[in-house]
Amino acid sequence: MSAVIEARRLSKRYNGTTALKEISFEIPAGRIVGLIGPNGAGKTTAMKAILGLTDFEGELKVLGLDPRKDRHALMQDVCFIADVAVLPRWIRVSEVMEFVEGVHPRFSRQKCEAFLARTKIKRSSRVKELSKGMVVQLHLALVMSIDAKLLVLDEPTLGLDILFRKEFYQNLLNDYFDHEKTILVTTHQVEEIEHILTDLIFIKDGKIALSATMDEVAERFTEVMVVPERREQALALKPLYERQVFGKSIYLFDGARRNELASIGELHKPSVADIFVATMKNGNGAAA
Amino acid sequence: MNHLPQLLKREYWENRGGFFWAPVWTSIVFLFFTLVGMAFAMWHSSGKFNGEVHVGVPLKQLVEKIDPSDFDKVGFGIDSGLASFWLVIQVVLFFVLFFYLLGALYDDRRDRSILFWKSLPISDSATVISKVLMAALGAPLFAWVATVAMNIAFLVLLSAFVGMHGINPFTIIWGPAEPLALWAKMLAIVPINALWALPAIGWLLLTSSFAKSKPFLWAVALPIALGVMIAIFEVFESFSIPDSWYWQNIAGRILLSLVPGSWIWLDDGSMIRAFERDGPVKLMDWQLFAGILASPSMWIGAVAGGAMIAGAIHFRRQRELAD
Repeated sequence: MSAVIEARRLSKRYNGTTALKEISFEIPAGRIVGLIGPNGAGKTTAMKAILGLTDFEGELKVLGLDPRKDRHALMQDVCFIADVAVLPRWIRVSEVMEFVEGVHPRFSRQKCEAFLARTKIKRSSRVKELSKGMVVQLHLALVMSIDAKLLVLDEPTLGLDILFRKEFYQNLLNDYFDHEKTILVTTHQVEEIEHILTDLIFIKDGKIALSATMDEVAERFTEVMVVPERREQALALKPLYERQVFGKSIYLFDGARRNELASIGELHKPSVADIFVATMKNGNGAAA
Repeated sequence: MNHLPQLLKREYWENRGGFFWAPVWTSIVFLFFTLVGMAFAMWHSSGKFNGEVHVGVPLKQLVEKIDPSDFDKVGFGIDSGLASFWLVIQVVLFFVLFFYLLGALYDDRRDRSILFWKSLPISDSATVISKVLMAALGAPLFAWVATVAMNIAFLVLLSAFVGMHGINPFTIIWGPAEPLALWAKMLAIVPINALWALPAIGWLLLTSSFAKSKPFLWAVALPIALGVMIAIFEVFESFSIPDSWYWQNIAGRILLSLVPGSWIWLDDGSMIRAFERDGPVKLMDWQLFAGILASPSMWIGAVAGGAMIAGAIHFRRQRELAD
């Protein structure tokens, strides 16, 4: 199947500063991709370019369309939740459902009603009367009722409490995702989405620092816990990153041989958050 | 474009207060004062109050001394009364529209809800055009319905009032007055106003979609500052054009042509004389409408307005969030 998103030498400059520096990547269908990077790394700029919300240089195709020119055709197949609480505050729940039903050919009112039935949201409430968590539930219900090919989520759970955040991704995975759909998500809270991702893209200073499937990540990265006496040995193998826990050093290796590492200490599977920190702190970044 | 009905409904939902409740409340308040006036007049006829209460014509005159030769005058008076209700609602409509248009493409950028609207398959041109249609035709039609409803309520009240004095309302009110003609002309004025207002609609939407902050300042201060500069540097002097030309044809059109019926500026004063002589129904005659529609100022303004609306669509596509 052809790529859902294809970017080639994608660049974006804002009055002098460069937000994206000629990045290239490809996202195939049926994946859940985490786009992860620190503030100001260019995540949101990349998202905006994909959604046709900002101009850019280079080549970008989303579902075969140019998002700059064909934004409104593209939106038939792309949904996005950009940030929490962008639903207009004045609108009523019943009105927003009627509106989306009226303008979106792939929206199912029935599905949306079913999703809302699981929540405490009243049809007659205005968005401004709902709690932050309810607004996100409403937005998610709307988006999940649209049979889109690509769903883009930009910090969808920012500022929500842990219960809502868990539920959000649970719903997304159980009731929405299938092999026809692609989800692209940015977040700071990597540990929360780690288990649902199929692909990972790290972005740093407008460049891609890592782009790999989760299987490749598991293959490539290894953590070794080393006692102080073996420190020299570990450093000789050129670890990506070192951190200290209870007097022991933990080294993160990219692409090193497992049996070699096993001889110097105890092996662990690193979390995405650890790989992220290592990649961001490391001068050159991991090889893409 | 097939989403227009849904988009218009959206505009109505968001602006119910201005489009619907503002004319309704204006009507209610105005009718209330009419009722109070009638109560005073009743009191007066019982000899306890010495003053005049007017509803286009003095109420006293309606119930006391009237003979058939005065019917014309009474009709004129009542028509003027009906038209004055219309005028009040039109003034309210101006303020509603002015601020509606200023916020139309700005407010959702400020509260970030534009990110929701843009996540739906709606073209930017359809969005902007729905706002143009709402300002040009939708809101004025609501105002017209409110005016007619209020006029009917007023005529009924007045009929009841003279009826209580033992006079047949059909001979003295429904006969001489011409409410149907008046309403038809109020309705006919709506598209003329819309065409005339296009430069203002275009300008306000343009600043609304362009401004990163404070669209009101952009919309109002910019044309005024420009006018002051023109006066200071005597730009127009060298072309022997008076400065008033700028105020009347540029600044006035882009800011004030939303004032309903402000195309009266085009007239040389004969309209005012016609009003004084013949009353509101005659004033708004079909020939006058044709004359206004034939004036170049109308059409040059409409073209300029169309261009500014195109500009608003352009910025709607380009601009991101407001500050």
